[in-house]
Amino acid sequence: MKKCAKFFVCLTVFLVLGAAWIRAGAIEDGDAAFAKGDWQAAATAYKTALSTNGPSAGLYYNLATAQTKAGDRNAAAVNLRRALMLDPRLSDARVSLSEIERSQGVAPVKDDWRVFLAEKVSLTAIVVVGAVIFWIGAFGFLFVLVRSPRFGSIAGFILVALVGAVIGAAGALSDPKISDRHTGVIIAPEAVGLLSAPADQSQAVAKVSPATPVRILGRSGDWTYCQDGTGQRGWLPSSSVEPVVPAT
Amino acid sequence: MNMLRFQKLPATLALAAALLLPAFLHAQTISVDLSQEVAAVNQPVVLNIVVTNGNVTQLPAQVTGDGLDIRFIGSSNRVEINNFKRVDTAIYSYQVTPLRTGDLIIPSILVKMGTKSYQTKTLKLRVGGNSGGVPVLPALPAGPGRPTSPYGNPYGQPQIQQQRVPQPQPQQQQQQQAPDPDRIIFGELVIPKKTAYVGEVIPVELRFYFAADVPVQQPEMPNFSGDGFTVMNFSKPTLREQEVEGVAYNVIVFQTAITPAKAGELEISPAALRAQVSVPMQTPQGMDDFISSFFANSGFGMQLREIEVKTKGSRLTVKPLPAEGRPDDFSGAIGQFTLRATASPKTAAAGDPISLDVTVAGRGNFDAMGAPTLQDSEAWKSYPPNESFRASPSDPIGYNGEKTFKYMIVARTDTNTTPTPEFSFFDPAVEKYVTLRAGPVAVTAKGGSAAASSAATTTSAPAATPTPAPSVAPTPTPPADLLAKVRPASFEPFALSRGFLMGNVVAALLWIILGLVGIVRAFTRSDYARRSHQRRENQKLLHRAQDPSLSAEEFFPVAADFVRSRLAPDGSSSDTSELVAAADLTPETREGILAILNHGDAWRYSAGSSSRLGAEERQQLLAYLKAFDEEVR
Repeated sequence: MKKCAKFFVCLTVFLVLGAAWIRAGAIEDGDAAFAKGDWQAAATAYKTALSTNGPSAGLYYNLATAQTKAGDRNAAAVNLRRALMLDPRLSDARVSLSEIERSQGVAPVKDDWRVFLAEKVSLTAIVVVGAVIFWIGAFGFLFVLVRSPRFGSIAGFILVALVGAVIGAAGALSDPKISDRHTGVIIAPEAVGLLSAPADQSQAVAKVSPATPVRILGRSGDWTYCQDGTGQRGWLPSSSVEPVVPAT
Repeated sequence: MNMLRFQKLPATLALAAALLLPAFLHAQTISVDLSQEVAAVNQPVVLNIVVTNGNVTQLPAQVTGDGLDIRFIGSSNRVEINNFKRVDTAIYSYQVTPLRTGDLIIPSILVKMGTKSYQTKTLKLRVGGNSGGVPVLPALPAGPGRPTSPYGNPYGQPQIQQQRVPQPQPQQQQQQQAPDPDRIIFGELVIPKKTAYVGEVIPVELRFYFAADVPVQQPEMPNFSGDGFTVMNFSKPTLREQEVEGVAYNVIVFQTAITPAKAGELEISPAALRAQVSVPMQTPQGMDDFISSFFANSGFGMQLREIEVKTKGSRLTVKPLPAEGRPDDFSGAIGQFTLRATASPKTAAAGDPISLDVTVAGRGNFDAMGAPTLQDSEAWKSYPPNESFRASPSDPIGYNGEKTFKYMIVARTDTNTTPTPEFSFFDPAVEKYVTLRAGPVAVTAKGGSAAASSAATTTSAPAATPTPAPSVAPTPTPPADLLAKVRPASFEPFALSRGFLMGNVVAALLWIILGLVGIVRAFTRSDYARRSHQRRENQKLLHRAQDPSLSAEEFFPVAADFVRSRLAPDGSSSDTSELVAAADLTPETREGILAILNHGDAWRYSAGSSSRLGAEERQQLLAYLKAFDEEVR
């Protein structure tokens, strides 16, 4: 019995260390290939690391950098968006994405307050702080209501709870994992037409440049129903659009 | 207590006044601007004096300028609430007609506000042989009446030193329809150009004329749209009085701008305005003409009628932007612009950012304008800029103004100048692309070591020509372009993560449980709960008294307790007999209850009495108790 337990412990340790070695190995291979200027090999190694190690803002950024150097700017735009979704404060990724979009002719979009907030502070911290403040207000309200109900105290705790809810909601709404959950990026090498129907011969209602972010509204077979930044809706071949949140 | 309240009242009022005072204190400002700085001979432009929170009492009707004819043409007012502050803005307009070519100086204008006098700054008007395609709206001639706003003027009108102003004759009225004085109500669509470029913003005025004896009320926003162009938001309407060939009109003016979206011949549909006018009611048959005219002239016998006024349509030839000479950094800006740049702070330590503010000022399509590019920026790391737009105070449609792009830049290496902002636009006046550069701003910035190594990697390794690294062996530290931190993360939003949701669910359940406990506790301590409990106790006593097995010694104390409990639920110290005597009972019931109490005392204190209670007597006593219970209830 003891021998059996020892065997399983050893096997587990071996598997864990082995997996860590494989993961670290893929990243180091990517870094080495990048240092040599072999961008394709670096990109492949980073993809391997992502598939074994799971999502990481740094890995997506490194993959995008290698893809940019290799000339695959549209794929790089997708991975930079993934990096920013995982870490909105990764300013290097924001700068690189902006440069790629500018070079691809993507119309600039003015950042709203959510991007501003996400860049400045940790959204997780905002959500947690907002929730804590909310529950302090909620429990304080309950305590005052049961023990000594006075208007001032009740209103004060309601206000505290509302402030907490607003802070928490602001943090949650600023999270690109929520706001950009249905975003996709055009990865076609040339500008593609948003078609009025999911058929090759249908009329184009608008053109979208490569690397342009679009909102994915639905899918039908090999076609994806999208909305571009101007509000135009239409169909694109699914091969032209890459969702920012990778399929699991 | 009341005295204390009154003593606190002045302090409270003072605090409230101190808090509210800033809301009513606001700065008085005067600014002056031109509708455009470039014009042609005899082509009038408008000079606006914008007065904020001031009451202008005197303005000159005519101003003398070398080579210029400057005349007052009217004013308008608007009231805004900004951050709980009321801001009154009055705009006094002069028509400036250049009489010769050259750089003409518009002299300062004396503005009197009560006892104070102000001088506006001088302005320069560049006058050429023609306007070069700059769209100029022909000014609306001021009539003999006072110009005003349909929303009222809180200040009243300043005294204009010379009321009667000769009618200026605008030169560029090729698309105006001559007002027909025979018409009572008509509209006019004023477009200053016949040809334009795709994406160019063209200011447009919609003028609706109502004969002075046809009062107009509650004009709505005009309906003006069409295919092939977009329309900006309308300005607030201004109302002016104007005389056209001897006929006095009230003119409602709306300003907007159109932007052609495609090349070709553009048909511009007529604009329509719905408004209510007062018209005489139909005179009943048989009414005397004298009586009916009396009622009409005195305001009686008028009725409101909803009408729709339409302008005529127009045409515009729209040309595509030329492909020849288009700069690489052209981002769609069309108009006339200037470029300037400032930087702050002027000194930055390693890693500290510098704010480089690049301002594009002028007139054109600010909405479609992209950010200027930064040239010579190898020594800097820049971030995408934040944009802000400020319209000219006298421009209600956002055609004139300035857009500021705020770049945050961080030095990679030690440097003494910022990058050079460069901005390209298409100038329809000269029909060419123009590229402006705002010279680099002198700063002193130290480069960070990390940024420097990154910059070195960037500059030494161009994207198209990979440079082999000197060492082929993999190194534990990644290259400078890469990120060293590779922390695992998840695409699942934290706000929707299981841990966060579970924590909130637990808190919510705890809150609900504590709330329920609190409610139950509050209920059990309430008067209602106490009375209900007492009522149940009373019913128990009465039920026990009805037990036939009770002996007399047992029955009478129970009955006495019942009576006392019913009359003094809170435990009064008064004697039970006194409580019964004071209770609102019928005489028969009162006697019966007193008899029970007396019997109880007798049974209690008389030794050797029989403990048996006859059935008939028990029924009688119970009847008294039930009657007592009913009456006390």
